Amino acid sequence: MSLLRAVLGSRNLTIGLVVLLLAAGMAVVSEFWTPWPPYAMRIRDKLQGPSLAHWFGTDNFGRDIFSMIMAGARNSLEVALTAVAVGMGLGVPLGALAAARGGWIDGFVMRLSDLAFAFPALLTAVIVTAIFGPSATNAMIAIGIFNIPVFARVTRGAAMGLWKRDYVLAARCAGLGDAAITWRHILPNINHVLIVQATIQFALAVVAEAGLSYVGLGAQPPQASWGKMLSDSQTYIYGAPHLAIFPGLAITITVLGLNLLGDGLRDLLDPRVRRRR
Amino acid sequence: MRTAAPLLEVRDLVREYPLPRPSLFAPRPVLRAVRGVSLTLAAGSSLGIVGESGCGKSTLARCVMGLERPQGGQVLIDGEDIYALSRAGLRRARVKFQAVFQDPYGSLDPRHDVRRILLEPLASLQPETGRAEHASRIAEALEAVGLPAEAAGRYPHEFSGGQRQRIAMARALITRPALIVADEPVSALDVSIQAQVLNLMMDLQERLGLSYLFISHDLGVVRAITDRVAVMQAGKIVEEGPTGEVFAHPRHAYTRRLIESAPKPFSGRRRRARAAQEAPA
Repeated sequence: MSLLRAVLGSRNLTIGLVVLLLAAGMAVVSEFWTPWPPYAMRIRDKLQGPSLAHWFGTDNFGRDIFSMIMAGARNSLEVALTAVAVGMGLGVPLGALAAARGGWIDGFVMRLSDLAFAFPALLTAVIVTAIFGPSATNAMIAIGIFNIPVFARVTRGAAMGLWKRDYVLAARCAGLGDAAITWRHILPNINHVLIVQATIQFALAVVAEAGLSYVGLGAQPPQASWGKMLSDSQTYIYGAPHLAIFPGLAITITVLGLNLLGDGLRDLLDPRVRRRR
Repeated sequence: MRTAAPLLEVRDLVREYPLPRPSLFAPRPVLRAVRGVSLTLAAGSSLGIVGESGCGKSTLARCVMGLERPQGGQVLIDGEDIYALSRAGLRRARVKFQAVFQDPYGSLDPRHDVRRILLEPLASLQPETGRAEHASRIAEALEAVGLPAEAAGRYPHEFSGGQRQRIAMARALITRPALIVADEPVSALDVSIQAQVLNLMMDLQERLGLSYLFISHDLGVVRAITDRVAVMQAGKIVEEGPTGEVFAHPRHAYTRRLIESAPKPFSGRRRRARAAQEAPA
């Protein structure tokens, strides 16, 4: 109950959580129901403005934009979730290993992540999709690869300080090895840092997915994607601005919500920045 | 015959730390934290290591705890060189020696409850103990340090500094070791609590036949708890002998300086002032 009170007490957290639940809800519901079939073209109804029948209007093929946004939410969240999972799944163990072993292993892992960081995120993604071909799956992998060094660094940084704690020495006196100490003592004490970072990376991944789809390297037609919708709307931006406005708003609100969620979680979980408001 | 060997013997221990190179081609300078220390500790007795901060006494303690491999020399526990053992051998040997650390706030994982804290060395070092024995051993360890059995379900932040140090003692005792290496175990505590924890340690020594390697910069504390004392300066032991003897007739100049510079709590004017204060009005 105190957790619920803490969540409701933080405006950031509340707004962020509502936005995330809304986006996730749309994504899930789109699997079973959308107001109109998102991929059915009805040329007769093309480029209509918002109305009671088509809440967000229709696009140049007469597809219902609200339905496409719902289907696009699924695409965005799926890509972002997978990308963060890839980044955490590889980055956290690498960072934990670097912190536990130190020495040349630490140097090797960190130089490797410097190397990955040296390329701009989008460029990394473009390279991967250029090599393996454009698709939503490859976009997930590409964004995921960029997330690996981020999580490796955050994990290492947070873990390094803990390795000097006396309870780690006590665990060594109990005969525990590096892996057991990492699992029992290090990760549980840094999970708040990782959760916050995951939220931030999730927001970045939504933007990255939209960017890749915009330049045609992400989701392929007819699959609905917010970034794809934006690029398709370019030709009609003066005649039918709602084509660009609604997917743009979807991206903006989702990313803003995730950032607020990240800030709120950091305030809630990280005792160093916890403050009274 | 094992019984002939002292419980702990340290022979010519050397522990050095490489420092960063001052320039690209210069040789790596070395910090020699412990430079050739030898000492012995008989079963059932306690040995104090005193010296100012930075003299290498904590490094020595970590080497004896089996946490830092020395560059030279040996640490023999029950006649066994712990750094010559295999990884599995060292694990088995750890049952015999456990440690208590200085900071009772840093030595207990805030995410683990007391049961889990106490179980860690027991389950790891004596895996043959079953679930039923775990419960009884935890209760036994808590009782030994004067904490109620209900403490097992609580978390470190629910305890005071002195109580936390009792939990740390219980963790050290749970494998029924012969030797406890205590690195400044009461330095972080209030003076009144220090006395309680020291009394507990002495009481446990008597009841369980423990030996202590007791590291401290506080001469009063060392005097209270140890049979013998070794004075360390710049990585070397400059004087060693029975505690009373060393304090009464220090032979080395450094020992004399150390004793003179220690604050004497109830002497001279302050003792008279205290007596006057306590006298009935």
